[in-house]
Amino acid sequence: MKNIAFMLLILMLCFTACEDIVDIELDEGPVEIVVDAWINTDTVPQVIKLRTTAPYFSNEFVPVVNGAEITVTDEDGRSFEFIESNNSGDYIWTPEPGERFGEIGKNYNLSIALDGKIYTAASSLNPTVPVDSITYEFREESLGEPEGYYAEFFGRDQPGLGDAYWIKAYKNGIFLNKPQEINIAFDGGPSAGSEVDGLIFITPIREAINPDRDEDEDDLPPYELGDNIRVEIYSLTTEAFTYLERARIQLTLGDAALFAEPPANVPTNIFSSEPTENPQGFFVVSEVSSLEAVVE
Amino acid sequence: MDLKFPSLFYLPFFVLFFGITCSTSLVAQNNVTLSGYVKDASNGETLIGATIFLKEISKGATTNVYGFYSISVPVGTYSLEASYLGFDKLALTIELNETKKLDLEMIEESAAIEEIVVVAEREDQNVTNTEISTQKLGMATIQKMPALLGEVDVIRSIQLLPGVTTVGEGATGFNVRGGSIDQNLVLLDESPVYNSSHLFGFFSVFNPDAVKDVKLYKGGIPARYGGRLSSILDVRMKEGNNKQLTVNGGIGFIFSRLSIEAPIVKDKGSFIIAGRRSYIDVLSKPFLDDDLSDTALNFYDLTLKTNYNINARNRVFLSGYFGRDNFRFGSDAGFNWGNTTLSFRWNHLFSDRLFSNITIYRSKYDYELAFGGEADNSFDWNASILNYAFKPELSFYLNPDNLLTFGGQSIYYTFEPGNAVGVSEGESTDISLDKKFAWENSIYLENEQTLNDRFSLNYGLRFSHFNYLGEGTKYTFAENGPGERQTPVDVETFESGESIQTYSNLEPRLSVKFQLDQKTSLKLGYNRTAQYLHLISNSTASTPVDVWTPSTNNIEPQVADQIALGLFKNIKNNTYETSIEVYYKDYRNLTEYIEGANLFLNQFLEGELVNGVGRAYGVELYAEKKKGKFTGWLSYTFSRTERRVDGINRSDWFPSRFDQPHSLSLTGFYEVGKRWTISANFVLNSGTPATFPTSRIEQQGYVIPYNSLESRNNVRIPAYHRLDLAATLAPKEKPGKRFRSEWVFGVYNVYNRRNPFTIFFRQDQNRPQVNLPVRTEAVRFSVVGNFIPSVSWNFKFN
Repeated sequence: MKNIAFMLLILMLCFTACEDIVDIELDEGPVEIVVDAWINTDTVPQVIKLRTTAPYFSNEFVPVVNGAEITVTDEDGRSFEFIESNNSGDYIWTPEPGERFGEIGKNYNLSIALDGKIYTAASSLNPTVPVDSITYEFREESLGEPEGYYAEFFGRDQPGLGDAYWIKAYKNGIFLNKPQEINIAFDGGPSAGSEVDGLIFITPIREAINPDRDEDEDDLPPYELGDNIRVEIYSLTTEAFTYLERARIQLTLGDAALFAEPPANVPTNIFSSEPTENPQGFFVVSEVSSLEAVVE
Repeated sequence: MDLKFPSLFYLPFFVLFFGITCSTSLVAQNNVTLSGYVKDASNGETLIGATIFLKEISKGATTNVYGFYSISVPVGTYSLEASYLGFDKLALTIELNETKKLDLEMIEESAAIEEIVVVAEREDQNVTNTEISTQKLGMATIQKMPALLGEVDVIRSIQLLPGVTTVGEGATGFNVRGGSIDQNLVLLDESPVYNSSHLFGFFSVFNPDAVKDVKLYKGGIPARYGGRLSSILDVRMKEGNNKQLTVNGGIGFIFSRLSIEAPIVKDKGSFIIAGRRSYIDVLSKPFLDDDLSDTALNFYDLTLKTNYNINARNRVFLSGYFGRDNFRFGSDAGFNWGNTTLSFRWNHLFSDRLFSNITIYRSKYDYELAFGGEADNSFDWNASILNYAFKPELSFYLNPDNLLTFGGQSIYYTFEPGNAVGVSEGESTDISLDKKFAWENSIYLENEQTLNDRFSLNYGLRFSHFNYLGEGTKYTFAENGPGERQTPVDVETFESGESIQTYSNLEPRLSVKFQLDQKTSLKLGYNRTAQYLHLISNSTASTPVDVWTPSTNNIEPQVADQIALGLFKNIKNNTYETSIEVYYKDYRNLTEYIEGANLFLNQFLEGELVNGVGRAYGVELYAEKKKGKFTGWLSYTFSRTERRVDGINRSDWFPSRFDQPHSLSLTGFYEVGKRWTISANFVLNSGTPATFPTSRIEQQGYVIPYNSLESRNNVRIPAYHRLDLAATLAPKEKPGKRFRSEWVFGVYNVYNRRNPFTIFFRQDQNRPQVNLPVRTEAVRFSVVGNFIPSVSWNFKFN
């Protein structure tokens, strides 16, 4: 759907459509706990962030939540303690040298104890697939895209339905972190519900490892000679895929505003022992694979 | 095929047969019938809604959509008066000793006193007939109204009528009394048009040069119409000049138009062929680089119609529409969509009092998308809805006080919800969805009856039956709580022609007129309508890729009841028409969507849909000045439209996306001298509702908007208002001149208002920095951000 939205957008530009930034007063709602727990099998320390919601326009760091006890336990009862570092609201599990978090195929339960309340969530650790190769080619300026090197990665979905992935790309170590750059795949295709399986990731997914550009000239240009390209593929649960898919929709509603669907809250898999609370955020454990290439 | 219908289905036929047999014998022997057609003397076009009045008995008849009238009266001599607004009255004395045929040709009022024809009917018909919540717009009016980019447009014009709204510029279709766009039945010569727009909602598919008559039913919908909940837009095409060759054409900013009409055999048969094409792509071609030379951006339509009078009792018509929007970006991606309709009609007079019409039509809407220029990596996707239908109708002119209409319709649908093939590195995957089939049948009986000088009424009953047919798959879903995606638990396949699910509805219709005095009447309208087709669209403006789907075992037919009450009054010898109407509408089984619904290429689509209920109510005030140098209308509507859906907005009522409580529109025309006409539109509408967040959720570095109150459409965006002006310079009048041309100058959105289409929320456009908080902003999106001037030139040769 992203491509359709793009085409519709181009059509709209044929008209005199315009956007203005406006000042809006928003209602305030109750403050909720937000759990940001996307952990993976990489060898680096794993972080779970505890925050709260904040007014949409607050435009400062959201408040942190201190003093929680966070444990992740697998189905065999093995547990991992996440320890808060310096009252930062960041809770960290540091692996021993050579150690990795978790085992593929196992189920994990997150438990957060805070002020007598318990927050819980569950995730399985699904297998990922390797990044087989990264290729690039030089392109002249075309369709509003500047000239430069454009990259593509190759990888193949594993057989069986229900495999979901988050593909992250880095240019010279800088994570491509704009909402438009969220690159997710379900069974090799762009979304669930259509029965594709075992495909080489389709072209739009392969090519979404290039920096997204809009009118902002200062933004990252396309790859240049000497640039390092890093691609990581994280396995996701179906629920985590849905979370990211819906988050991306909510973050990019303005990209084809005429055809936007109604704004809606993203789902969550965090539960509170307190029925009046609506904790937000997500917990998922991913396996990660990666590959790097240098443009020569 | 499963042809079983409930026995109830046949009931109206028995009633009819019985009724006609009885009534025929009841009509006394010394009654005679006067019947015939009323036509425009200049081009032979039949006139719809012209009145024939016999002074001696104060009774009359009105021509039907084919220009036919019939009246049975005792033997005698009568003073007959035929009238049609914009035409000279025709008076003659007629001796009726026996049943007689009389075709009347009426002459247009001389150009010197030519009025802008606003309602082409008997002057006080709005007060005296039984129609409530019905609006007619003459093409002459539509053509003089200020238009976006100077392109005369039927659908944009009806949006200025009370009770008709749109969510904004560029949005496809229109909303009638709180109904969604798929609840309007748009008919072109009796064939439905599934997508009435070119370039999203900017222009409609109707070529103004080929349109004769436009009528919109917002309520009090007669039994002869059915299949949609909220409105009927009945567009009738010209038949084509059967006296002489006429060429119309024009050049505007967007389209060039040309239409040719001519007799095939003079006074017996004629044709019209009308075409339009946009030419942005032709103009921009020299400026595109080589790699973009394959770019296409055009839309066109071709409208054809021909008719032939076989003899006094038989006349046949063939009409067709073919339109397409075509977009291609370089050789990489393409996108096109369009409608085709074809209808064949046969008017047959069984007797002077029994008029029949049989329509056979085919209508199709399809679209196609393609990405990827290379064979190894591509994606092709197309979808369509196609139907064939048979629709017989009989009108029986029982006596001057009763006009019985009965008929039926049988429609066979084929849905192709999505044929899609993706190729990735040469490996092809077919993710097409199965076709769906359905058969919709209906029969109806309607009587237009005059009880006395004060009371007249139109009552009818429609019985509709829908059969969702195989070959197909019946999915059964498990409920997962309100507003949650349902999971498929059972699958059952059906053979071709086997019935998967059937539905039926009885749809009573009624409108009553009570004449308070000669120029004032009170009217009441009630209708129940049922709709078995659903346009699956979850976006603010419908997109061309939205698919139509039939009712299934999981998607129930939508049903609505509406009651309307109106007071109609004409003032100063029909110079002013005024009306006030109130209505209440109740909707059931509205198609709604779970949050985050996946509507494309999803075989379990039905699990993403939920049922909602709706209610709409309002009051519509309307005043029109119809005569003089200054004409025009003012309409004000107060209305609300709300929905309730489990799992959305805490399962509480919320305003629908097109809820606009206040709506004011003013349209005026002023004749300056003999050659200039100046026209203006002003519209002022409440802003549409939108959903605003309260809070931010930070997740993986992204700032996601969050509404902690779980509300839908909780805020209203600023009001919409706009002024448009146009001036038309008519040619100098010279007798005998065969070529005439006019210039139309216009400005759309004169005072440069940036009306918001929506307000959305996003992270600011800079790349988020790791050690800085993410900034967010609210953005007002306007489709039209400036004033848009236009010039167009139209010509006519005859």
